Amino acid sequence: MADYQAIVIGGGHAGIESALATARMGFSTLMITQNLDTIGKMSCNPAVGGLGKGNMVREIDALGGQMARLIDGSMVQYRVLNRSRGPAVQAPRAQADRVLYAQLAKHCLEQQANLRCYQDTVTDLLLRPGHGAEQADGREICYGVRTERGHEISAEVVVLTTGTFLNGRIHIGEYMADGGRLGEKPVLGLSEKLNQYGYRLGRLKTGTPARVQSSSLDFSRMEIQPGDEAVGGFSFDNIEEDYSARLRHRPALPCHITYTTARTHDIIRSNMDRSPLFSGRIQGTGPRYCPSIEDKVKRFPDRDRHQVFVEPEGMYTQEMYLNGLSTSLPEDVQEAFIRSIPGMEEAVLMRPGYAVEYDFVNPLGLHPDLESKLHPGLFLAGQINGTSGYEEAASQGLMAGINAGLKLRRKGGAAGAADEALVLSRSDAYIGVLVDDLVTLGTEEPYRMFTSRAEYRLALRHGDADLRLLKHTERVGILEPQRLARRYEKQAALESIGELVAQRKLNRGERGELGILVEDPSLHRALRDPNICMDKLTKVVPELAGYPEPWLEHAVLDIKYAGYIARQQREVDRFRNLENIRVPSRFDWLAAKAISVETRQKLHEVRPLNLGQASRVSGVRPSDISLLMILLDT
Amino acid sequence: MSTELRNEQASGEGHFRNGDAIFALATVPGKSAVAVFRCSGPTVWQLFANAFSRYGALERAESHSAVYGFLLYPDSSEKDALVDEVLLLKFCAPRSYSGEDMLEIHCHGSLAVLDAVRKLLRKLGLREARRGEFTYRSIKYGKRNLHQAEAIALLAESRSQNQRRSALYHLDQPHNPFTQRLQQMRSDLLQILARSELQLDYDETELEFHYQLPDSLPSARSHLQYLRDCLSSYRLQKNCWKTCKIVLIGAVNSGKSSLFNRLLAQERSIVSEQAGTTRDYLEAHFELAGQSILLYDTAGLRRDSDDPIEQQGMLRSRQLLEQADFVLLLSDIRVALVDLTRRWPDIRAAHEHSAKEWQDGYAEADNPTADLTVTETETEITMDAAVAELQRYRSEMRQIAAKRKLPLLEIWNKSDLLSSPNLPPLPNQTHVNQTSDNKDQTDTKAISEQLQDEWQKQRAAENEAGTECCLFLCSAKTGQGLPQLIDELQRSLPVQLKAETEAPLSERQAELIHQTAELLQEYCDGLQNREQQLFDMDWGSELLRQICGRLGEVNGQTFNAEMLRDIFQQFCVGK
Repeated sequence: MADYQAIVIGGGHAGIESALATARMGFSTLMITQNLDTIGKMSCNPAVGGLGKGNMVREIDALGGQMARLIDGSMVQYRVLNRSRGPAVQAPRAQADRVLYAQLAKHCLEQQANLRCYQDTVTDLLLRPGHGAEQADGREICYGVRTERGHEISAEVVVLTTGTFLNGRIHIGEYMADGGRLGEKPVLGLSEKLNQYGYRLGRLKTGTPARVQSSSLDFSRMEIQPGDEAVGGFSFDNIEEDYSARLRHRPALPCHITYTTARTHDIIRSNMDRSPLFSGRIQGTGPRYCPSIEDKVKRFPDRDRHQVFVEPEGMYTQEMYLNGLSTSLPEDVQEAFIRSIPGMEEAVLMRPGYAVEYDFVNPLGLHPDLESKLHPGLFLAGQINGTSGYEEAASQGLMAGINAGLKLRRKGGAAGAADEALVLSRSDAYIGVLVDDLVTLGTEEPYRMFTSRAEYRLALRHGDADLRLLKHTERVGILEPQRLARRYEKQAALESIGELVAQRKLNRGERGELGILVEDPSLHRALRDPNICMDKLTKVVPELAGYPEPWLEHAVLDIKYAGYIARQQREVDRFRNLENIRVPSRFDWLAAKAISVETRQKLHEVRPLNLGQASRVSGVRPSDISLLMILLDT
Repeated sequence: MSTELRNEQASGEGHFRNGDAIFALATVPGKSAVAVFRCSGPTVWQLFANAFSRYGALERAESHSAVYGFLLYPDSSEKDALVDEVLLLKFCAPRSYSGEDMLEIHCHGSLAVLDAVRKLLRKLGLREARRGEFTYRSIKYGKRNLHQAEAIALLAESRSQNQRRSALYHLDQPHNPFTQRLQQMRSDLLQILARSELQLDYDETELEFHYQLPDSLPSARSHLQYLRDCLSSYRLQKNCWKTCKIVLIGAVNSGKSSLFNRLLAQERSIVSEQAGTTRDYLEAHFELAGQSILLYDTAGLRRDSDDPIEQQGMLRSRQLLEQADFVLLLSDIRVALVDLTRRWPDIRAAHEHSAKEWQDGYAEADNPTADLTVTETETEITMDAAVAELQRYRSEMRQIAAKRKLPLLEIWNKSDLLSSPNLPPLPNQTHVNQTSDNKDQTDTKAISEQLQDEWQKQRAAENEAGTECCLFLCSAKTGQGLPQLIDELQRSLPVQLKAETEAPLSERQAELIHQTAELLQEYCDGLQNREQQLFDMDWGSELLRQICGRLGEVNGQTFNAEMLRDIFQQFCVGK
């Protein structure tokens, strides 16, 4: 009998979701973290959401994860991005009170039944040969962990979420120290073990800017960027509870925008040789799309300025985050270039910016349910899989937790379709895109979600994630029953709204009030009109007044987009038929002689489950897919 | 697919596993001197170890060489063992059509031999190939790409020189200006998409430069124009590729069958001659200037018949007319002339006296005696009846032609009779005399021109309009006027396009191009009227994505699972 049913290693954004998921599925869970005080810590910018990322937070919430509720409880500013560019590409973003966010996270874990949090450092995995019934095919099975203090703790499944701590190393100019975050010791030894067990490790780098004291800044020299006045949030349930008091009375702190100057660039340029990035000391690959300021100055010599967002870190702190100035230059250089920026002439540095290098495990070694191909029972999630960002980490954490739980259910008794692994497709969710990209393409730089990675963006609106994923949510069963019931209530309400809209006619006066010029009397037509004045809708059509505003908004967007979504759905179907050609698990990829040797080996490594996935493996040409179709005899 | 094959697939390798040898008859089954079976599979000849009299020679033979011998049933008594005397052609992988080891069996072409060989091949463990399976395999071994496979399908199915040339062009040049232009279009649109996506990936406030979709309008428009042009070229080309149907129609004794035979004899490249499935009509396939043509000789459209068989025939004639691309309305020149004179008072007044002569002459009508004749009831037909019938035919044909916008050619047959003394002189006719053959020719031509002229005047006078209609005088018996008729037919055939015309190769490609053009049109319209419709960057980008996806499918750069199926469905077995 194992000590726990599940062990989750790490208390970051991935670990939180994993531990809560298995515990909520009813399995005794142990979360081991190096330091209980750093649970849910935001290592970099004090914000959650954004384009693509905000959609993932809402998907996490839809499935019963925690992140949306944590940010809703700790935000100090809320904004919907891309308001001018069409609802399908809008997404929410919020500034968080960093300390409050972490407190809420820890508090939530502590209150969770079946979950124990424990402070220790895992240094090794416990492995044993698999028995026949476990379908291990000769592989060893992971059955627990060994810790720094010598504990051996067994479990049926283990989720590894080490973030940037695997052999983490901090760089600030010439200064170099072991650490996962500034001032926090790394996890040493586990990397070597993973390497020894056959995992392919790589090295990545990420960076963070300096924090400065707000009282030393002159905000009058910057542009102010307030949040939206309209109250919003991430969690579907919070929104529905008629704008809970907490959201309504949340503090509203503005951000500020300023710009680097020619002098900033001169200072950086003349100190380039002191950057560990260019001195060759940093080996890891950094994110291309989130470059350090020295990278930007070097790569875009023609730009005379770069934007800097000055973001508050919380209610009860003077620390300000300088978004856009991530750097690993020496501290004296950091201070000098920051002081060359308007409004920051007198800036007082509280923490320096730094770069962190860490080990990651090539995610091509994972099945689409995030279980290791090498060791059944071991799941990997978060930055260890080569991603960057809290939302990406939390999404994987949730999926790994859910799939670990489903595996436990399968072990527990009669395995039915309800307990099959949850693999979201690319047309289901941004989370589906994320996981598919990771296990199919692998990654060579920190992976960040972009809306352009999702082919079926129109159908992945942030506001419809709750109903879009409802059938999965119900199957997984970690959302509280009353919330689930409320979702079904919403679903029914949307149907009623749909029926009403299909039948209701508007007279000329009503149309005029709504700003509709066309003669067509149908309300359905009016709602699709880009000129409609939505504020007047419930006044003109009082039958719609009874519904919560987000529901109505959801219904109206569905109507507006119905035609477009239907057409996109046909595209989805076109693509699904490739997705439906399954590859037998024992298919011999290496025997496909007409495919180049490199591609064959790549396919052999990825072992795609179907031709859709195979077609996305890097290096696979369309002609290869036609060939595979022939081999699989479609 | 059989259960057996499904099981093999479930075992993980698909049924194209090593050792899966296939065969197909590559020639048309029927009576012929030689028939060819194709076999393909790894060391496929080893299967013949006990089934070929000179197996040793076959095994030793080099690629692309022939071995003579006898096919034998293994495990049979001496005298039953022989199957056929054959020539085996050996091809070693990868130098073969399929890219695998192949064997071609050249045997005798009788049905009995084909059956025996087929039975033997099955017994040896070869299975019948499915449509296009040899080409399927050639892709598998990297011998050709999908675009070329489509070209092969077209080539194997080509019914005209034109189609053959186009297919060969695409087969030989898979990277021709058309495919290249599509590729370039796709990369251009992908670039626009990338810019638009970049805008969408960042918040408005985050980006300091803005790309606007309307900036892409001019290039989108020019791409759209190109696609539309390609589609109209394709439609024209398809018209040339399809078989053109010409229906001969006319009263009994108007000489339809003679003309039918004469047209076929004139055009040497007769493809096939086969009797219709019923005695209602004859059809023959020939080619005219690269265009494939089916010529029908019908039973006519007489209305007064009570004979159920004849009624059936008339029904079929009408059905044929429904599909016709051309109608040739045939009449006996004497009947036509009587008709003309009766309808034109000037002629009637001047030539009343000859009318009786023509009628008498007509009663002794010559009976065409060709080998291919439609059964027509031999009846004595009076001139009056014949004229009435011609009028009925003409008005019905003109109606049909007008309705279906068909070219209608009226032909007055037996123009050789123009030189017969008992034909009346025509109005203003000054030089009808019969001295020499040469003279005769010129005169006939002159008369013909004159008649046409008058006929047109008459048509104009009767206010007949709408359909294209012209008159030809010819003689099926002597061949007079036939070249002019053929010239006219040729002129009316669809425009013949060059093989290098930039156009889609197949219906599948054309459909994709059509969809692309529709999407591109929507994109341009959307950008132009952004106020009137819900058109934001989100939908604009989505449209671009769909457009690029379809463009990619044309060349096989992006993929759709149904694509392969579609392509190989066009194949015949044995290719």
